[in-house]
Amino acid sequence: MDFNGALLAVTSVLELKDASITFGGLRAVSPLSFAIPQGQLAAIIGPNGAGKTTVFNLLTGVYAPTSGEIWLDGQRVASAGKTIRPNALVKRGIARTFQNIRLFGDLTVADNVRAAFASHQSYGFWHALLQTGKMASVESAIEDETQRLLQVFGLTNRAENLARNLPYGDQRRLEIARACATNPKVLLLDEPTSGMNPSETADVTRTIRLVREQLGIAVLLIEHHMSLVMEICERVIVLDGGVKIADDVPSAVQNNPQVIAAYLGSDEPELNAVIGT
Amino acid sequence: MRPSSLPFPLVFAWRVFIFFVVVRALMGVQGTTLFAGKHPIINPYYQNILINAGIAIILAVSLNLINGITGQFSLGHAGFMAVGAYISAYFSKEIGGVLFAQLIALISVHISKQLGTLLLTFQQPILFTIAILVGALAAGAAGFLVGLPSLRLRGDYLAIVTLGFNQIIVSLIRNWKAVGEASGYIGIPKFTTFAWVFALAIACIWSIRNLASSALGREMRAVRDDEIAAEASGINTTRVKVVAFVYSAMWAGVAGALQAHYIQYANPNDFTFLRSVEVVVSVVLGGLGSITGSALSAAGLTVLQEVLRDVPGAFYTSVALVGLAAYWNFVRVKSEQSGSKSMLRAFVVPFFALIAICLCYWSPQVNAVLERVFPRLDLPDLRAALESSKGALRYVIYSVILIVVMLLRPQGLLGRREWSLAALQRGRRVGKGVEGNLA
Repeated sequence: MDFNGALLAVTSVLELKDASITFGGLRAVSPLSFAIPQGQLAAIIGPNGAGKTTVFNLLTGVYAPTSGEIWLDGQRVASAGKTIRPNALVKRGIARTFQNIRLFGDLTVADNVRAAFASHQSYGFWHALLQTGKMASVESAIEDETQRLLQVFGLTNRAENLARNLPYGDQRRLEIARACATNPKVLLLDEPTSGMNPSETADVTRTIRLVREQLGIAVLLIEHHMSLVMEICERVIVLDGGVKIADDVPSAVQNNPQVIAAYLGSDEPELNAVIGT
Repeated sequence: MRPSSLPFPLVFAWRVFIFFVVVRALMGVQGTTLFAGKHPIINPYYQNILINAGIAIILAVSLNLINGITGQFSLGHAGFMAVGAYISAYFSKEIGGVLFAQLIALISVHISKQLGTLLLTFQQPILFTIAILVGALAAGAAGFLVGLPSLRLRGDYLAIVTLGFNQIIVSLIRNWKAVGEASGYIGIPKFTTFAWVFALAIACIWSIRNLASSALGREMRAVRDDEIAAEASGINTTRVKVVAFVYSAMWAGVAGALQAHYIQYANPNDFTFLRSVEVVVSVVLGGLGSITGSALSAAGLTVLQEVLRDVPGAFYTSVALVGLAAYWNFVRVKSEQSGSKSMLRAFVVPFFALIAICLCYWSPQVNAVLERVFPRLDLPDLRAALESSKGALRYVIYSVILIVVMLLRPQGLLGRREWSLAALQRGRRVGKGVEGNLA
């Protein structure tokens, strides 16, 4: 670890160092750098095709970067052409949700959360086969944590329902709860409010605040609802065509002419209103 | 008795004790028993059915771990079974006996003659245990090999790969000189008894229930429901799938060993794709993901095949025709409306129609009347045709019953629920699921 890395390890949980990715001849993400400090709530925004979800897939080990490095909690987890498997990355402290909600539909709400303890609270095959005391003690620890998480996310009375029978808003809340059950240091939310009505959006906004304030997890979210981004985020990273064009507090980004141009293809001042709330 | 309420070794010892008491009771005291002696209560024919049912239960419950709980479609269970059957048979016929005799000689000479004699009296169970273990390990190794492609393939593609594996195993055996090639492997010692099958079927159900109700079982169901989300939730999907394949294959190997040492003969044709499909059928029929469902349907289908063998042609033809008529009616009625009343009609109408038809053919009086009324109607001699084709027809009925059941309950007999005595005592016929009842 070089000096710079050691220094950053103390201050940031997640860091991209000039990470880029190319698919064939298409450069989806140009060398991109940013660092998320502990407990920060940041957003990535950008027009369609800007590379937001690709950045998430880089961070979660779905793709290996073509060049550059990714650091998670002081350890290098990906470098040019190399990355570790998504489930191993989860163990290191990164969790995510998906743009189209992905739950374990035929499992109960409680089991969805319990399943996510696999990476850090588990026991081996033989303990399961012989139903040993270790299994009983680990299961009871998982159960306590699960009940606590369900309580925090207001899903206690839904615990025994099948996940696929939940209303849309609850499904998103459960997906976030499940991600939090992996005990992450940073949580990536891919368009948590897509397809939601205003009241469901308000509910998700509350949930995101909850994650940060009650569980102390850093949150990085992709979002198109500008009102939500401006309301809760401390920092906004703007991507366009795989290039970072702005990285600042929301009010500054709102007035950045480059950002406005990226979204609207012009820099006419009166269009500021569209970006703002 | 929950695992947490008493110290584990105590609970485990208690369970093992109860288990052996039951097995001992079934084997009985000499002479006067259910199974042994001159006039056993359960005669050899019924014993044969029970043993076949036990083997079918082991196969179905173990396949359920892959197909139902982990959601990977495997179509090669008979391949694993063949590996277990042939390897264990080869061991007990060619290797085990010689090895054991040498071992006894060594012990008698160097340690104690009494120990040697004692071991000799237990020769058969010891040899069989080792043979089963060897067969299971070989099948498990085969399961590992097949589990590897399953890491990359899903759905239909995996089904084709496992099917291909099954064919490869059968082809290898057909060309393996030491085990009789295509004409089959003869002279396998007869080790399998009902007690063995019963004990191993219980052990299979017990262990797979334990896996299914543990965190590992939860991870398997998570992989079934959404593999990408499972990976993103920190579940090692590779490990989960490989464990499911290997463990399931090991039990298929055990079933193969039991079968080979029961009929004392192994033929590659017994382990083809058709056998695999038979196992898949009982898993789907019982309910994908329901352990008790698989066990019940595997036992039920085995018994059904035997029952159909004995009934007169008339009975099962009528069952078949009722089934077909009900199916046709069901499809028609369902397109118009739904409800229990129309369902009832779907069965009642064709049923009475069928009784009428049967009466016409089977009663000479009615037949005579018919011939007088319609002198030109040349009635075919259906009765003779049916009676001469008893054996073949049972497969028609068997299939029709499967079709009807799948139409009426596409989720299988038990769906994903489990059936348990505990739930029965609480006054609920069927429990909520593995998670709720068996943990």
